[in-house]
Amino acid sequence: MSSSAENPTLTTEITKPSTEIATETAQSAKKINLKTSDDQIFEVEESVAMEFATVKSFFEDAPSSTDTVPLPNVPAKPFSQVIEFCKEQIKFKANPDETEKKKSNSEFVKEKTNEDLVEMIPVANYLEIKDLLDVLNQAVADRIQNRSVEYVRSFFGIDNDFTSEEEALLREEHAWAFEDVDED
Amino acid sequence: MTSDFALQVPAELETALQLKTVQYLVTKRPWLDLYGVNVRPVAPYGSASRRVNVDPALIHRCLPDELLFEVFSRMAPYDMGRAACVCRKWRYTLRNPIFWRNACLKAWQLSGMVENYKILQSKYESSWRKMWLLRSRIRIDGIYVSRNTYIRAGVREWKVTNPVHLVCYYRYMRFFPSGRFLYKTSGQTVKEVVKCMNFRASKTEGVFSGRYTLTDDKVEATFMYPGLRPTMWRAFLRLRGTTLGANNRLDLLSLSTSKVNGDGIIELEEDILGSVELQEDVISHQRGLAPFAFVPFEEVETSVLNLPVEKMDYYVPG
Repeated sequence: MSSSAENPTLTTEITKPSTEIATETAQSAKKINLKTSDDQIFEVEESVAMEFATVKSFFEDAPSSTDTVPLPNVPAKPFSQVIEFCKEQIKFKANPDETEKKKSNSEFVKEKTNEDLVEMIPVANYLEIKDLLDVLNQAVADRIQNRSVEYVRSFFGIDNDFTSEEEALLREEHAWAFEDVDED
Repeated sequence: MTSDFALQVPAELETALQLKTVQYLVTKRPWLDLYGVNVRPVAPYGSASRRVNVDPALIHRCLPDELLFEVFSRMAPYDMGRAACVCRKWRYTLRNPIFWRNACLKAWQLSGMVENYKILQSKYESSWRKMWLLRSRIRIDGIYVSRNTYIRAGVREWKVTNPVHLVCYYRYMRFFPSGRFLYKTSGQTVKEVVKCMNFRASKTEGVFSGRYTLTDDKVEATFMYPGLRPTMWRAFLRLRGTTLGANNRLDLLSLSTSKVNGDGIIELEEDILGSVELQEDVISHQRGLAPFAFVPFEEVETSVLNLPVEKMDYYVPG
């Protein structure tokens, strides 16, 4: 047990130049300020902030900067949920347990409304959190799985912009997909 | 007057309205009315530039096309087909051949990538969408059920003088993209049987596993009944659909069983037909050849095929 715990630290020492290690250890308990598009400032632990590839590269470009990181494309509401997700993810980084991770992911998704999910997708995309983006896209796809066209429209609030003739034609063309649809 | 009036106009300085006042001086050229009018290509209906007001759908406001694409790429082909009917934006997004290529390559993975590309070019004008629609494919998102009934004369008892039994049994086939399939004959309805139609249960529950091939719309399926003198079960089936591209029916063209010599069984996993030496006594079965109807997994609980024989004496799959 003790040897396996030592090994990772050993490898990082080899791969990284010593100056970087010094800054990293100094920052380990540090908090990072992230400013959203609606001017709210989030104080996030560094380990969480480093999950955001965009923020990470910001620090890689300017390692010494201690200012607030502006996130111009990120509104506060979905961002707080993204942080919640990343905090959960970090727990699994230490001991990767795929089944537990999946369970936690599906629970995270389950309690979110459609609006939450849809608003989080561009945020996850901008921050380049691949895991979250996968989870969210899959969740949206799953929610309309085996549902009727009308259900999907009302589900996302999409206007039907087809004329009735066009729609009839389209439905005929896609008749193969309309077998065995769930009741709304 | 010069013949071309347009040359006299100091470019874009004069408006179309002013030109009209000198109309009597020149030959009539109605298209000149278009000068000064801001002509732009007509944007596709439903696109951002055409709509002045905001799209009411949050998903469209939040997700640019490339992210919508990501969501769609995680959907099953059947959901994509319905999604294409939701609105114009979705339809255009789903025209992207990548979606259909992925669906096709998955559905016909047995043919191999190279062969699939060849077929695509020779038969479907290089359109994956067309191939998805027109080429027969075995559905793997559910189970094919053949419901057979027959009448059996019963034994005379007490006051019942002429008893007749209506007997109902089912053949079940579940296919896998790998080229394997599971088969079971049972009196139980589909919602009971679906629980044991997996490879784990295939030893104990009377579920047999074999291999199938698909050429055009013909399916050939074989498996072995194990035992001291193994019997080979062999069926020829034809795929069709109640609508174009549905592939939800399997006609049972012929069904035969035959005793085989023990020698061939070692290579059973590889190629049943190639390695097994057939004996003469091939029994061709003439009964219980009702067409298979496809029941997707989501429909298993609600399908009419669960109705007991007293509620539905005969099932016509159509």
